Amino acid sequence: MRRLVSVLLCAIGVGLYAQQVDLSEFTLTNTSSPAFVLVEETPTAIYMPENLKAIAIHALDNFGESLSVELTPHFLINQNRKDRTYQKYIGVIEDSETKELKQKPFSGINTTTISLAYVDKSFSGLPDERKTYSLGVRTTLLRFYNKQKVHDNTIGMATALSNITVPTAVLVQGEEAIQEYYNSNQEQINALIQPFQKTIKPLFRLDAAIGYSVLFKENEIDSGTANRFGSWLTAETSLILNEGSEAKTNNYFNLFVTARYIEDGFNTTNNTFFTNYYRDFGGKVEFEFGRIGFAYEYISRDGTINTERSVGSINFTITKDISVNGGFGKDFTVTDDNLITIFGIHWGINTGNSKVKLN
Amino acid sequence: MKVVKFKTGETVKLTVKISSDANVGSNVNLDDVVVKKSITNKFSVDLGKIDDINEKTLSVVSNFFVNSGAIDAIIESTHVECSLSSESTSETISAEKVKLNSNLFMAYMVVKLKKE
Repeated sequence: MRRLVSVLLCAIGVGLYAQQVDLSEFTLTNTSSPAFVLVEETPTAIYMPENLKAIAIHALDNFGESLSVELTPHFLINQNRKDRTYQKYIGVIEDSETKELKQKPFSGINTTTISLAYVDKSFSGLPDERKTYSLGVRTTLLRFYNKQKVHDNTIGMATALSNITVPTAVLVQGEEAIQEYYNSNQEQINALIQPFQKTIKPLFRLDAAIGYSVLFKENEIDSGTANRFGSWLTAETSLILNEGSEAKTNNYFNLFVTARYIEDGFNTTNNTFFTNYYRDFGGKVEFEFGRIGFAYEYISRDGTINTERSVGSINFTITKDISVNGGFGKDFTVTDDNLITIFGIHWGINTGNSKVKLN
Repeated sequence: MKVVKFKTGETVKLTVKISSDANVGSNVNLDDVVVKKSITNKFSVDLGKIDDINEKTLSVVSNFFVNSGAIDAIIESTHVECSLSSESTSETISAEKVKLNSNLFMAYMVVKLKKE
């Protein structure tokens, strides 16, 4: 509990600091990673990343003992390509000849992430914490947008952007003068782009993920390892709750359904490790109201052991750029210590200047 | 400021090619007068005879909006190439990029047009 309070204070401190200086290098990120989900070290086991980063770090309340790094290769490789467009990235393209809108349901492959995690955690049947290392890969197999809505928003934003002009006298002075110009004209620029800034979620989306984790049996490098493997599918559908409102953000009701298969070798009796097999099936309901989100998830586990996970979670955006989340409830563990209380902070790594305080 | 020279009597054309995962809108200006606005990733503008635009300053401004949080990586992979051409001359200039905040960045190019 003391650790939780410390991390909360730390996060709030970071948040307050972020109000004073632009902390865009810490950008709001997704709330977990497959590598964390596999070792069940996450406030939410059912999630879909919305706001992908090239590089993201996930840390939990036991700072230093649980850490995950997640990469999005699309943003990091082949950066010299000359055929990128926003329409290709989002997967809604207007045919140049017929003007017909086409949806590319597999465009979400661009959002594939690779995650690595290190977790020092107690496992059922083991007297001490054990070091585990995990590798996870997730991608969006399918996604379907309201293509007319996405197209209209794309055109609206692009038109607004084309109306932002900069005098030559400013351009020739370079970066700082340009940033200052945008800063001093932020009211007009905000008025242009604000109507088109809201995130539009897919009507339906299907994610797939796999993970592989290794546990050192004796906390020694040559002590041998036990392994855990998991693969899962997650589907999400989203409904806008404040359609047509002038609010800065869309409020959403999100419904998730997930199915998982897990081979769990992290079990022992009398120092003999053995493997359990599970099939998980569950769901999650989530309400997003601007900066805050409430969710409840339930996962039923069948297989070698029949159990369940039942967790409520809260996700809060401290600033535009930083989010924290926490979960409380019952974990899969069948022993008495099945209470789950996890707090996490998530941010992406960006570099470079960010001096303009536009919305 | 870079100077691009064209032979007298020739017609000058600007072609802009943009590669980016970000949504983009651009404008082309001669002496701060907008001559073209575009919301596409490739467009061209006929600037006219060099004799009519001699000594004028050409600027191209492209503004980008990033939905995801990966703005730095998107800036890195964004390329804006401005090609100025006439009957006998052709020159391609890469636009400079400036990050504005966690959602916005811009790219720009400024040249002085001269006849020779």
